[in-house]
Amino acid sequence: MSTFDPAAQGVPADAMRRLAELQPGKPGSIFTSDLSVNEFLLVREAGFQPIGLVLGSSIYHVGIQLGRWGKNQELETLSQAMYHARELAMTRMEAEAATLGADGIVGVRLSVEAREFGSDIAEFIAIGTAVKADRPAPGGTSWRNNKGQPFTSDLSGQDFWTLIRAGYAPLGMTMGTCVYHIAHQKMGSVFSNIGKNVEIESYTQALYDARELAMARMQAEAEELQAEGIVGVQLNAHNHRWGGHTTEFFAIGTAVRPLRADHEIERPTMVLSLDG
Amino acid sequence: MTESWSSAGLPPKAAARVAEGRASGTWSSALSTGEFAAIRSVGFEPVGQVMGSAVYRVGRSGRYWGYHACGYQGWGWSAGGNRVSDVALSGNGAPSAALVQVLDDARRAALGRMTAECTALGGDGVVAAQLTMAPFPAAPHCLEFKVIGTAVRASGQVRPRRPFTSHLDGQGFAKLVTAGWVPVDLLVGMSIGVRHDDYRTGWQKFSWSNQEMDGWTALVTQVRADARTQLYRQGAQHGGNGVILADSDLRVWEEPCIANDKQTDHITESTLVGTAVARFATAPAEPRTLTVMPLNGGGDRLRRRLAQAARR
Repeated sequence: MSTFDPAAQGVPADAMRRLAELQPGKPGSIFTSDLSVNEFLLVREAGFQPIGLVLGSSIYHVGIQLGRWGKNQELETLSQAMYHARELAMTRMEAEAATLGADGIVGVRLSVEAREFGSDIAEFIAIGTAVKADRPAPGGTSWRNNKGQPFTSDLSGQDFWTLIRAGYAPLGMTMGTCVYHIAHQKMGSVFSNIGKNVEIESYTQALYDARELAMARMQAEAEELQAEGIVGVQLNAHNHRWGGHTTEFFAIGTAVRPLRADHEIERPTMVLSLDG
Repeated sequence: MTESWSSAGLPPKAAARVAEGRASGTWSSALSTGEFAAIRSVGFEPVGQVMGSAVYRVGRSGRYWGYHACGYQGWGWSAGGNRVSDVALSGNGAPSAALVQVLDDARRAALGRMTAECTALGGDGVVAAQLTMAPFPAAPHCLEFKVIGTAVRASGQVRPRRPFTSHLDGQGFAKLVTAGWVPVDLLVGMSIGVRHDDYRTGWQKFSWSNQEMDGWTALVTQVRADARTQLYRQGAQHGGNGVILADSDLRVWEEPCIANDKQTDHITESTLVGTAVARFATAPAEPRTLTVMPLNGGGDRLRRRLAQAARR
């Protein structure tokens, strides 16, 4: 381990020489990357070159939902809005990456931000770093997914490195959303439960219904990509601005495919950190 | 007592501190022990804490400055109302370009003073530079642009033509150098876009159905793209191979239109901060990243998750 001594090998001098030789204004390919240094170096080590920061954005006005508030139900207008707006942002980001000739996008962050545009309007934004592989995927296949689009992945550079090393490749981010209205309790059931600690079945059921819908939709997207599975799934509940009984359940993860038959990685070295 | 100073070179007090530091050979640094060790491990040593600061008066909103003019010429709601507004983009020479220029000048002044201190201390570059813009409390519309970091010096005889600057902390810098990359410049890419809210925007806003606000989407997209272009341009200026982003910020707000104050404009301002990096080819074989399994603190993850669950 201690064989590598940068100072002895003249690394600092090399670095300074490069700075001294920099050609101001020389046109060349320059990339921007949204990755941290660790991520940047790991992505390079995994055999990919960052080629540019890509993003897609959509400012979206959510329509008006009519519904019966005494009933557990999915609010379809709102679900569709959340879906459509995210899809627009993602597609635009993918299109930017495709123009750069990227094989994929790593470290994608998909967020909803309420900016100063007024009520019912939010910005849906997708940001990531487009990468290009140094060599084709094992078996001479393309790194792009079965739709010919660059793969997308919300994995960090660290997770991406581990995934590639373990013989998997990301295919695309898959998501499912469901905006659900949980019915207020009926007067009768409120009275009959006074003074008792009991399960409120209708609430439990509402949460189940909504989450299952979101997860089923995410799964359907992965099947469309012919994925082996989905890693890093996050299932979150967002309460945008709709009040207590209306919640968005949002599932997002990265669909993966195997690159080779065995998925062994070398045994990690055990370390004991001395700084607590 | 303040000596007179004409904003050329370093302020007298700064020059005196730097000269004192250089003469005594004692350095100061804001590096943590870990950062200090990391920098030493790749053959650099700290030479001192360096700072650059500039206070600029930056008035911006309203008719007087005219920076936020949207180019609206009164085609109006009534006259057909079909006219689609364009985005007045600073990168395309809209009036806001002058404001972007002022902010850029201010940042360059601060950065220039910091690198001047670095050179005076005999440093080759600055790591962990933090660039901030804060209101100057004593006067309205005044902003202090400040950048502070630690100057470092490479072992060996080769000196760069100009000091590098970088937002990376000590460890980040060490990792980068080990992998054969060297930071070049701390960059700020900025863009301002102004768009008149046209008839279509108003109609979309009050629609009953799901609707993309396409005008505002165009505004935000174009401003971000312009900020990115500015960052590229600056990165290429000194011959780097790439830019690692440190921070990005987007602000959106509404202002009465300068041409017609009964109508409104939306203004978007995007700032990207990053460090340009360059590859030096003679690096030794990259040390392969080692996978490790920590034996202590193993329960941390579980504890974090449990705490998270309890908070909900």
